[in-house]
Amino acid sequence: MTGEGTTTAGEPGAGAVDVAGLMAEIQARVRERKAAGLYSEEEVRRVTQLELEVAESVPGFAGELEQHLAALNDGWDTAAEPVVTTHRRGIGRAVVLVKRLLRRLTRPYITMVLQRQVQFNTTLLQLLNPFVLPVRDQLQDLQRRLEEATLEAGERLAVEHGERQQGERRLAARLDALAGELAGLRGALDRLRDPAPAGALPPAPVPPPGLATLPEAAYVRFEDRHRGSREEIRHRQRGYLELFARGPVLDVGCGRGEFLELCREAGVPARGIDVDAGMVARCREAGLDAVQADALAYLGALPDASLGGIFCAQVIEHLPPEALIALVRLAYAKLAPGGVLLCETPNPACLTVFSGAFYVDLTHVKPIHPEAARFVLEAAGFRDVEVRYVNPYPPEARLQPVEPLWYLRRYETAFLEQINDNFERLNQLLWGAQDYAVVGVKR
Amino acid sequence: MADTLAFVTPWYGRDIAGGAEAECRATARALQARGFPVEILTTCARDHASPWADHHPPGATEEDGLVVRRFRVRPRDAERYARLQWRLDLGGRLAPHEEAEFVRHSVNSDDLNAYLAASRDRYWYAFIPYCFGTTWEGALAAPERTLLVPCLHDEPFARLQATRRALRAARAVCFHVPAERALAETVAGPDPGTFHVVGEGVDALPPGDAARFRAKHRLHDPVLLYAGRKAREKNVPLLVEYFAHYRIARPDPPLKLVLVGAGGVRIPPRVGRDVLDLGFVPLQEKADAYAAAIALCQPSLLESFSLVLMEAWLAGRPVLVHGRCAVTREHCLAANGGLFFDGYFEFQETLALLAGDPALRARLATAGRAYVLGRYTWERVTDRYLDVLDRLGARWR
Repeated sequence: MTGEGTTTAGEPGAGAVDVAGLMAEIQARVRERKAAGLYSEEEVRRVTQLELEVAESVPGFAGELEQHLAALNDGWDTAAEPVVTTHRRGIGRAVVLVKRLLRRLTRPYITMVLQRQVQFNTTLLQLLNPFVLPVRDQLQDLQRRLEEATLEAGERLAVEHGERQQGERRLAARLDALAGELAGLRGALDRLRDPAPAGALPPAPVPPPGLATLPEAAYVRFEDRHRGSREEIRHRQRGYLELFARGPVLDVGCGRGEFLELCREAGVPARGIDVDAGMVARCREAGLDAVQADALAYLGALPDASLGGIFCAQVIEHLPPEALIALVRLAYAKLAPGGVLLCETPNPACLTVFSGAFYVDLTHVKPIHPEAARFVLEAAGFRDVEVRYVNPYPPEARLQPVEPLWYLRRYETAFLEQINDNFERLNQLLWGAQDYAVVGVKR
Repeated sequence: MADTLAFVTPWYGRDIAGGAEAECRATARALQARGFPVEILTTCARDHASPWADHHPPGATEEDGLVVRRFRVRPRDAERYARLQWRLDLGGRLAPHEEAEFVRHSVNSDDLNAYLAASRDRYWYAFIPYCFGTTWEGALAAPERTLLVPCLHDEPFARLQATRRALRAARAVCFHVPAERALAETVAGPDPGTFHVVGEGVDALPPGDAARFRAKHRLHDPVLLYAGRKAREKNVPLLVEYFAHYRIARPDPPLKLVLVGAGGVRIPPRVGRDVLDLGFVPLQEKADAYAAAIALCQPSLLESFSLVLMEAWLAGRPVLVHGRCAVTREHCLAANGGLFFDGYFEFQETLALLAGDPALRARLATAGRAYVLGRYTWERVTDRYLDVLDRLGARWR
């Protein structure tokens, strides 16, 4: 025997802590506190539960089967010679000898009985050994298949639900389109029945080239399908209302009249013009003040400094550059000092606008870059020109960031952060704001 | 002609992680440095974590100044082995014929066994660790020339007849601590005069820089450190659960649990901010972590020596261990260098005491450091190995 070999605790030297003594104190304190109920019952319960959960990995049913089988396999030989021991000192050896002698004498008689038990055990094990584990494995297999089937059924249900929702959306869109068509027809009917008195309106409009070949009311249907629902547009345009506290407001390209409605609700006098007769008819049906007119012609006919605001949503992309410049100059002339011009248009700095909204509309002529729009307004004399980005893609349409998980290593988390930064840059470029509004004030 | 001491181990390589593997490398080199000729005999398998199949070419190579001889792995039925091991892990026992199967399908090499038997005249064999086929079978190939460095844990493998046979057959069994020897006595019967407590050599970490560690990880609160593999069998989930509960019971003063080492552990979301899992860190950063910690917690129940305790003490930090681990508890009592807990409430009391009493921490750490320097420096440990070999009659001087 070599080495430091001591199993006793070290003697605490000068300045050292007597760990054995300290631990005895701590253990006594814990016992006292438990007895005195200083640890709340709830706490004791939670901790006991916690220790059960953590300290013991409870074997499942399958494991239990195997454990029992192992125990049977260990103990089948009931006739095996037991170990003879004694805890007595001194006479222990004699006691062991006597026990062994007794055992030897009785053994033949006990063995007669036990041998039959061993025979029984052996037969039973021969049956159980090949039987239990395959059955357990089959049970596990069945359980796994059941889980898989449940999962699969869940997935199938989710897919069917999605398809049904899609169908409902298609039906709703079709209904909207039909409603638009009906309104157009009604408008046409009204005009036939009750033609407007000549001279009350500015000169007859010249439709932009893109619309020249389309049947009347076609654009109403088109807007219904692609522009978004009335509620959506009202919701988007509500944010602009604060800029138009002063009337009268002219809504150039008023469409279905969402902004006119908002003005009416806010008590701001407003009139809409649109080149499309169907649109104008729908506005009138809703009791809104709208006339069919070409923007340049109509504005030109108005007295200078007579308007409090000009609202012009989704129009300028329909104009060739020279018409845009003319429109902005005219707007400046017709606004009273303090009057506001707002032009909303698709945002070409967001690239998916070109795979979607912009080229869906045949009558779009040219995308206008936000900086070009700002330049045109400033060149016409507008001050405090600002660009507001609006109508962002919904978050679910954007690339989703990957959440770091607790078990990732640091370098993996760093990779993830890099990937997420890249996602954000792509999101800005591809799924940013779909539209912007350029706003200028006449000082 | 001088005898050669051959360490026989299931796999060998510079980068293999694992306590016994690292101990084998370091002890072999320390003994060679003292003038005892040393070789390594091992299989062609790569390491514990890879399939136990041929990875290295067979034959002799020289690695870091040591001759390493590798032998082809014997084909094995890994599935059968895994099933039997599972049963053992669940607390079941194996019938003798099943245990024979279990030993046969562990990692081993027929060529290695033949070499052991044929070369017994010029070697002394040191088998490390106890729980693989190389040791269970190899220790019986030339028992009169055999030392065993078992690294014995209180686990089902320790209760196998094969382990008992190896412990009884060896001419000398070298333990790390008295508690390990006591475990061997419950497994293999009383010391037949061949059991020796030799210890394990400890290398101090480089000096640590607490400020650097705190700055790097933006840590402002006191830190309780866990260093080592984050595995279930190391009882790390228990530590995390206890700590989570402790933080809820005592939100003030602030305290963070920092885990360093490979592996993964689930951190309950409710303490996500108080538990920092840094994964594997380089040696210097580990030293910095010790410097920044108030104490090291070692919750494992399966330790045959626990190097991290020694590291902590050498780094001047006290330790907190599980009271049901005989080895670490014995270290704490013998060194007067740390406290232990059995159950959550003792964990709460001991941790609160350590966290709130810097003077106590300093006194525990000082005593722990003196304990390591007095018993587990490489010089002391190799002295004891050479003493054992001298007693066996090895010719080397």
